[in-house]
Amino acid sequence: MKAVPADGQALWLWLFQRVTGALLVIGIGVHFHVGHYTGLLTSESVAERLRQAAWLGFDLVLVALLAFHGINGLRNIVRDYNPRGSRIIDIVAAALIIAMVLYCARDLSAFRSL
Amino acid sequence: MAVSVTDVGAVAREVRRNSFLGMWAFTLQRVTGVVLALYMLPHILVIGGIGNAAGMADRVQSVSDPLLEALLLAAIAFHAANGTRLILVDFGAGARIHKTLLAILMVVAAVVVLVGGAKLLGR
Repeated sequence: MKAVPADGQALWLWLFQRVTGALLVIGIGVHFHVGHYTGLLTSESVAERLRQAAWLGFDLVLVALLAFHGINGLRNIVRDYNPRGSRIIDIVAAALIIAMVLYCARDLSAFRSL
Repeated sequence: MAVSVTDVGAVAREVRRNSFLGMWAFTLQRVTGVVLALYMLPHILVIGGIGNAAGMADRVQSVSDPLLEALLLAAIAFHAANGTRLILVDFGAGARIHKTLLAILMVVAAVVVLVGGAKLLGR
């Protein structure tokens, strides 16, 4: 049994799951630190942080990484029980990832104008 | 090699040799993965949805609980530590020492959870 898919879409999804996972170790570490160890969060403190372009970019990238890793991970589990795959599940997964990123982009920009 | 279950000594040796560590790591990786994936959806809806309203401090306090935060940290730490091992093994670094890697990374995760959890609970 090979651990690495041979080629095509499966290989890219496999690779992305690992790349996003490695980046999330760092990204979620920073996110958890900011959220839990830097004092009480207020609307103002969050708005002030997000008005800095670097932090806005960090949060947007983090959401994109997390959305892919989480939803693709759930899809991997579903596929373990349904190895032939399902087009509907793939479409739902892709839609969820896009929806998460768009929803968060809207919220993050809303914080900036507080 | 098949082991007769009536041969207690052989069973004990087999358990020491193959303690099913990889299976437990796999199962826990899956369980924490599902928990974290299910957590992220309401997390985004609840925390993110405050952007257009004042009084974030009140809302955040109403949904935060140090014990739950510590449990969340534990799930993240395990998933990240074991995931690091999976990546190392998948890319050819450490398949032969994956149980040693697991032990080292679990110690790292435990330190993160103990130090980070103590800070959360003592806040």
